[in-house]
Amino acid sequence: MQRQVNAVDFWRGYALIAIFINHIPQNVYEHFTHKNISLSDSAELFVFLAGWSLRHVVGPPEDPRPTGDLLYRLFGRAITLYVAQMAIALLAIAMLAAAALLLVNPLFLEWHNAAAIFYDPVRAHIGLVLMSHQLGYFNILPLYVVLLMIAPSVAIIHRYAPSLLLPLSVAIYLVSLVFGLTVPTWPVEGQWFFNPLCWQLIFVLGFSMSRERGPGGWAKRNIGWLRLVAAPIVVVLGIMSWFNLWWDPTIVPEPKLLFLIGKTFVTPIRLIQFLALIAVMSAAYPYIVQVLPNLVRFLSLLGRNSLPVFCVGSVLSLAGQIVRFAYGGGLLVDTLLVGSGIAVLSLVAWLSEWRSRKD
Amino acid sequence: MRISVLVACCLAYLGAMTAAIAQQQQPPEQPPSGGAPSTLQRLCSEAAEVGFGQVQLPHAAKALRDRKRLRVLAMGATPLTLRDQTLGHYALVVKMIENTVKGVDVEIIDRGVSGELARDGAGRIKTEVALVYPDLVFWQVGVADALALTPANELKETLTRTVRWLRAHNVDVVLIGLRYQRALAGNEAFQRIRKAIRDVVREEGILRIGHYESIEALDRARRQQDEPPSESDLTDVGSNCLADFLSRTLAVGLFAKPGNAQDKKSLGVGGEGGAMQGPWAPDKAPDKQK
Repeated sequence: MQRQVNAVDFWRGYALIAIFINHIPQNVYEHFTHKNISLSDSAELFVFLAGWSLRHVVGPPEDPRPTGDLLYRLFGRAITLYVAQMAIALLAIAMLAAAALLLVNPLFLEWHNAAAIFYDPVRAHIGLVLMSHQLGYFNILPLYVVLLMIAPSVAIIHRYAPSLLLPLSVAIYLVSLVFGLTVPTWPVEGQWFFNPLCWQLIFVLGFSMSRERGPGGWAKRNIGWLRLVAAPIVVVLGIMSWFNLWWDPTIVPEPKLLFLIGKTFVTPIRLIQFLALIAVMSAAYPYIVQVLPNLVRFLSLLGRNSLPVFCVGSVLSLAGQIVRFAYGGGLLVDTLLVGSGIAVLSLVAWLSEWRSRKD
Repeated sequence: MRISVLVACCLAYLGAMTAAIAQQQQPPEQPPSGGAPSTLQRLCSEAAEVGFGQVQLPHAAKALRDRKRLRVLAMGATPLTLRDQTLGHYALVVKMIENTVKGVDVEIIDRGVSGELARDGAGRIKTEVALVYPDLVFWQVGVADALALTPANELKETLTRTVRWLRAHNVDVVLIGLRYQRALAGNEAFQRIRKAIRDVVREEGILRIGHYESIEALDRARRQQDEPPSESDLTDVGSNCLADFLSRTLAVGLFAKPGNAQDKKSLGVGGEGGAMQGPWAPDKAPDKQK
C-alpha cells in the first residue's frame, strides 16, 4: 500500500531533485540549490534519510522483524542497488561513447573517469564490477551499496547493544579522520570520493535519530533548544559559504582532518553544519505542508520511489551535460533540460507506483 | 529465485576479484626485443621537441636540495598510461624522474577526481595541500570545464587565484592542460579554455605541460610527410607520452637557472642536483652525457 505523505519522503524527493540539478554543472539552476549557502549538500541528506528509512526494515522495538528476515531483506536490497549501479554505469558509458561518435569529440571518452573504460578496458571492467572504479557523479550508489552491506551489522548491534551503536560508529569515523584512512580506487589511482568509513556515521545517525529511544528520543525531546543552538550555526556557516570566508586550511592543528572542510571525509564541521541544518529545517515541514501541499505531494512521490528516480536522474543529468555541450548552455536550454528532466523523474515515480498497484 | 540470483552475484563478484588479483600478479610486460626504441617511444621523443617551458620550480628544487625528497600532489583527472600497464601513470612518472635524477626520492599522491571542474578542484587543492604538504602540484585541468562550458574568464580567475595561493604557501605548480585532438582544433569552447590556461601560465610564470602543441606539431609533421596518424594514434601518443612529457618538464623546471633560458634541445642536461639519465637522454643530450 502506498505510504502517506511524510517529511522523510518529502525531503528525500527534494534531495533527488537537488542532486539531479547539481549534477549538471554550470547550469543556471544549480545556483538555487542549498549547496550555495550550506557546507553540506544533498548527498548528506540522501544518506541520512537512507539511515532513517532503515527503521522501517528493522521494525518497532515492541515488534522487531525476525533477524533472519532482516538480514535477507537488507542484503537483498544491497544487491538490488548493486545491480542498479551496474546498469546506470553501463548506460553512462554507452552515452559517453555515443556522444563521442555523434559529436566527433573524443574528449567524452575521457570524461568523468571514463578514460580507463575505453583505453584500459581489461582492468577497468574488473574495477567497475568491484566498484573500485567509479564514474564521476555515479559514485553515490557504491557508497549506498556499502552502507546497506553494513546495515545488518547496524541493525543487529542496535538490537542487542543499542547503546554501543553510535559510539562505535563515531569511533570508526574519528579513527578514519585521525589516520586518514580511506578506500583506494583501482585501476585508476585514487580514493573513493565518498569515504564509506566516514559516511557510515551519517547513515548511523539517520537510523539513530529515527528511533524513539536513545539519541533519537533525546533529540526529539530537546528539539526546541537544539534548534536555538542550530540556527546561528546554520546562518553563520551559510554566510561563510556564500562569501567563501574560510580559514586557511594549512594553519589548522593536527590531526588536520578534524578541522578541515571536506566532502570525502565528511569532516566534523560539515557534519555539525548538516545536523544543525536538519534540526532547523525539520521545523519547516509542517508549514510547507500547509502552504505548498501540491509540492509536498509531488516531492513525496519522488521520495517514495527513490531508487528508480535516482537512477534515471543520474542518467538524465549526464544526458543534460552532453546536451548542454552540444547546444550551449543558457537560460532557455537549461530550463528545458531541468524542466523536462523533472517531468521524466515524476513520470518514472508515477509509473513505479502504478506498477506496484497493478502487482 | 532470489537466492539463486544472490548466489550468482556473489560468485560473479568473487570471480572478478580473483581475476583482478591474478591480473595484478602477472609479470611485467617485456620491452621489445633488441632494446631498440619502439615506434611509440620514437613518437614521444619526436613530439617532445616542441612546447616545453623553461620556468623554475624553486620550492621543488629546494626540497630536492635539502631533503633529497620531492612530494607531489596530483589533482584533476588521473592521466592514462597504456605503455606499461603494470604501473599506474604517476608510478611511471616517479620511476622516470628517479631514473633521471639519481639519489632522490619522489612521491606522488594522487587526489584527482575526474570530471571535477576547476572551481571545485581549487577548493579541494587547499585542503589537500594542508594534508599532504606537497612541494609541487600537478594539476590536470580544462577537460571538464571545456565540456561543461565554463566561461573562460571564470576558469582563468579560478586558476590565477589558486596558483597565487599555492605560491604563497611555498608550493610550485605544473598545469597539465588540454591534449591535442584533431577533431577539436576548431572547437571554440575547447580553444577558449585552452587559451585561458595558457594566459594564466604566461601571466603567472608557471610551468605547463605543452602536450597540446607537441602532439599538434607531430600531427602536422607527419601529415607533411604523407604519413598522417589516425585520431586514435594521436590519442595513444597523447596518453603514452604524457609521463615522458611530465618528467621532462619537471627536470627542466628543477634545474632551470634564473635568467638563463635553456635551449629546448638541452632538456636532458644534468643540473645541480644530479646526472640526467632519462629514457630520452642519449638522444637529447649526447654531449653532456659524455
